[in-house]
Amino acid sequence: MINTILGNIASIVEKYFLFAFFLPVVLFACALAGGIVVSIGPDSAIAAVENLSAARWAWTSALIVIVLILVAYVLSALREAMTQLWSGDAALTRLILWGWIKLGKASQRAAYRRLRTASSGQSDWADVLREYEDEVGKVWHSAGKAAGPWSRWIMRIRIRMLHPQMSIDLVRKRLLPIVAMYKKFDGNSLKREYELLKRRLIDWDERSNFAIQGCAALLDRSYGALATVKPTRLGNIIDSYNYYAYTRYKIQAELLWPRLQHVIPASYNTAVQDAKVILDFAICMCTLATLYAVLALLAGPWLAFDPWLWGISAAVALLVARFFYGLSVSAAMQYGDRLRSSFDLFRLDLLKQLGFGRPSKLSEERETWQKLSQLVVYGTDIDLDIAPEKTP
Amino acid sequence: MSNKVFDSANFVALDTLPEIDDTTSVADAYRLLGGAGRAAFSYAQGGQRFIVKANELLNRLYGGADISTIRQRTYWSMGDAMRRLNMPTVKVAIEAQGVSAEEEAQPLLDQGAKQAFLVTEGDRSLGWLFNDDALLEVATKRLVYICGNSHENPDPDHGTCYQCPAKIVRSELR
Repeated sequence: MINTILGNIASIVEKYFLFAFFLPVVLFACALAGGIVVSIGPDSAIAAVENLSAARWAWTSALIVIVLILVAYVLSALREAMTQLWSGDAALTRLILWGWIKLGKASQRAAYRRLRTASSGQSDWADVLREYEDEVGKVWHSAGKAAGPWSRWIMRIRIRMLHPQMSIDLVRKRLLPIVAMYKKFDGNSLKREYELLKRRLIDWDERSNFAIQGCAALLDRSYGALATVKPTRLGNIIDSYNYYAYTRYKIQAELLWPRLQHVIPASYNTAVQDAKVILDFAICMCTLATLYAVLALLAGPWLAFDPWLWGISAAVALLVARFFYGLSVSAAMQYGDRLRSSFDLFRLDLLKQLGFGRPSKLSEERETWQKLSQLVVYGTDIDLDIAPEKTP
Repeated sequence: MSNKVFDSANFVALDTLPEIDDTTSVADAYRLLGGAGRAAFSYAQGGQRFIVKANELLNRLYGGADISTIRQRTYWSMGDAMRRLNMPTVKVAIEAQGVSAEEEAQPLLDQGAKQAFLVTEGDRSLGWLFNDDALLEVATKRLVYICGNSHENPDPDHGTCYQCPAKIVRSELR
């Protein structure tokens, strides 16, 4: 125990421990001290400090530092539990907030379905354009009366009144009088208007296709599978990057990540760790801010009965928690992107390090990872070819 | 007077011709071509690089086909288009053995076989040298796409004119 504490005192200079756990604990302690000082009054607090002898002050300070490090250490051990808590995966959350978890899951499932529908859609503007071309094609003629400036102006106004937020049916309906103009006038006199509308529909089609692709990318970065949807956004983002390696390569990411870390070059590992520091810092801050709100509401009144003080403190703490939850969501996205690229870039190095040769095809590689995962997870009796050791 | 490959009138710089890959759709390829103002593009297939004559490709894709077939074909990937229509004359293979930019151009231009040479300087590719006038013409001129109502278009879109509903019927080198 002493060794571990000493180890953590030494590791206090390490960025990860310092920023992800020690800093939130220091901020939490400051907020706690601030709350106590305000509740008992600044004069009483100053008097209490002044009454301490120099030796006692030194001892107290040292004790506070040790306690802070200890708490930070405990928090670092609880990292996984805190992540599960905000992912809605912790047993305690499921028990206490059963209703909220149910509601969260239902709303996240609905969001998943909406995104899935949006990402599997198809732009309808290309069809509208083809229909428009076909309809104008039926009535186009280059003989007869040319459209005058007034008719062309009317037509341009009609074209400009169309916009991509309109329903497809409404646009189709509004295209009818435009098509009718080609019946009435020489088509060549309206060729500029034709081009204006055609380019407009092409632009909308492109924009719509980009939006569909964007939805598909967002779905991939925000959710795993529908069956495993979590009640919170954070939980789903974490699920999405664990799911990524499985869908692409059949790699059980959670199990193989510690192994992969050993083959990732130090410079790249630092980039991954930096993203992890921000994620863990945000999760830690979110947890401690929520804890502060709970303490302010439950323990505060016992210290000094001041409903306004503790009510406002709790509200501020909850706002801080909300802010850091939002930060943890975007940090999880960044961390997820780096984890995904780690699997893309270094999985073959891991395969080599594990003693299996370089597969020649992706399907072969997937099969190897699947068998390896079965071996690691279930200890299944499987057979895999081990690459012969290279002789120098 | 010496006529180095790099100074030759038959030399075409690398960045003047768009590079199209197998996955680019036919419509997008022609849009890129319109932007580049050229009638040929560079294309790689199975490790071999080609110069594709876009006007001949267009004739093969659009010639005699009805509008719905043309529309359908514009969504094909370039790889699909090349495979399905089997057009050996549309693309000219670039000589695998590159020639140096400092080499004399005349002996290469006088070679009987119509060829496209990759011009290099050290490890760098600089462009191509064409000893075939027809190929040089498409690599240096732009294509204008003309519809059934004689409207000119910068690209053939999905087989129809930008100014009217008529289909693109021919292309002209300008």
